[in-house]
Amino acid sequence: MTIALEIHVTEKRYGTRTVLRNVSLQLQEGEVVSLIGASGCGKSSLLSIASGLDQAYAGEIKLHGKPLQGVSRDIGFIFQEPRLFPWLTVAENVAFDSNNALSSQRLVTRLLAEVGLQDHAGALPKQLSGGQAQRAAIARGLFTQPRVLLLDEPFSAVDAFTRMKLQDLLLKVAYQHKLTVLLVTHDIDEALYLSDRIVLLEAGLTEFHPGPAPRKRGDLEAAKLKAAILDSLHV
Amino acid sequence: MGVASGIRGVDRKLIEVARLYRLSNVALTRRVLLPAALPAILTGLRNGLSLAWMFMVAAELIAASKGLGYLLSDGRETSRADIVLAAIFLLAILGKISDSLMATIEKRSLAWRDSYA
Repeated sequence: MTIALEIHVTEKRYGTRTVLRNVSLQLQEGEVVSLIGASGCGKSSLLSIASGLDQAYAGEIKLHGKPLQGVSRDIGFIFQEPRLFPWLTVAENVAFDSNNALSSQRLVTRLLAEVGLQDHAGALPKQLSGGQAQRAAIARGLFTQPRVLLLDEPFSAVDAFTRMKLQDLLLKVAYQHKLTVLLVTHDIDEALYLSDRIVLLEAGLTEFHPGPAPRKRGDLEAAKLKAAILDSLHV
Repeated sequence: MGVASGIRGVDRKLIEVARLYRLSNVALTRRVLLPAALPAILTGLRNGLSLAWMFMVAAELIAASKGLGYLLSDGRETSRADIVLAAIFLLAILGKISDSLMATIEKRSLAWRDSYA
């Protein structure tokens, strides 16, 4: 297995407050890793650094062995909210990276079909439900055909049933696109279902291994692991 | 002022998305800042237009030899109530037409906005 993403953060500070210190994480190609931890522990900061959006830190990010300088087309990012541009249609949002809408039409059509929005290409974001908007955001995240996908609590704003559907969708697209996935979540059940590896960020990194995919929701092994994670979080 | 305050009020989260796509400053302005600021820009233009009518009449009242303001002033000085009323009526109609035009442009340009009206 080759390493897709290497994150080494010596220090990340906001003013005088240090949020990350000596954090190192490696993601194997094709691996789905969830990052969990208490609020304010630096999960989202770590993701922002890994995406290249935040460059005000001490350390180094490597993508397939090469140091990352700023944002990259090889890294897709999906935010907590869909963050679609409200003046663009769904198709235009998905193809936002493209300067030539016509040349990207086939890719957009394929991506929208993958996320189940093939009938909503011409819709405006205001006409979508929360789940549909997040599906469109996933399609947009895949448009650059990234090799690594970063997700910052992407399903936290949708209802439980939609969340489960979106989780299955994420697993499907991660498999189809051979993606390496780093997911920040507060939902331990979500982490247990989606991840090959769960990393708990709290005074260093602790790892948990939910077992090989496909995993079942709420089985006995998952329950045991959830208890262990909650114990580590002192909950 | 409308453009400046509109751009200042653009959602930081949308800028963050745009940064993911490595947009140049020109592209960021054209593809994100201006469309996002359009509601504030159009509101500013609409307010500016109604103010422009008022200031135009005020200027004509003070120093002009023709125009609506001059008609108002001339009608008052010659005790011609019909001229004064006609000038006021014309001013109201012109103001309403220009405001309705701006409202139509605003409605069409901002059809994407998820707002009450």
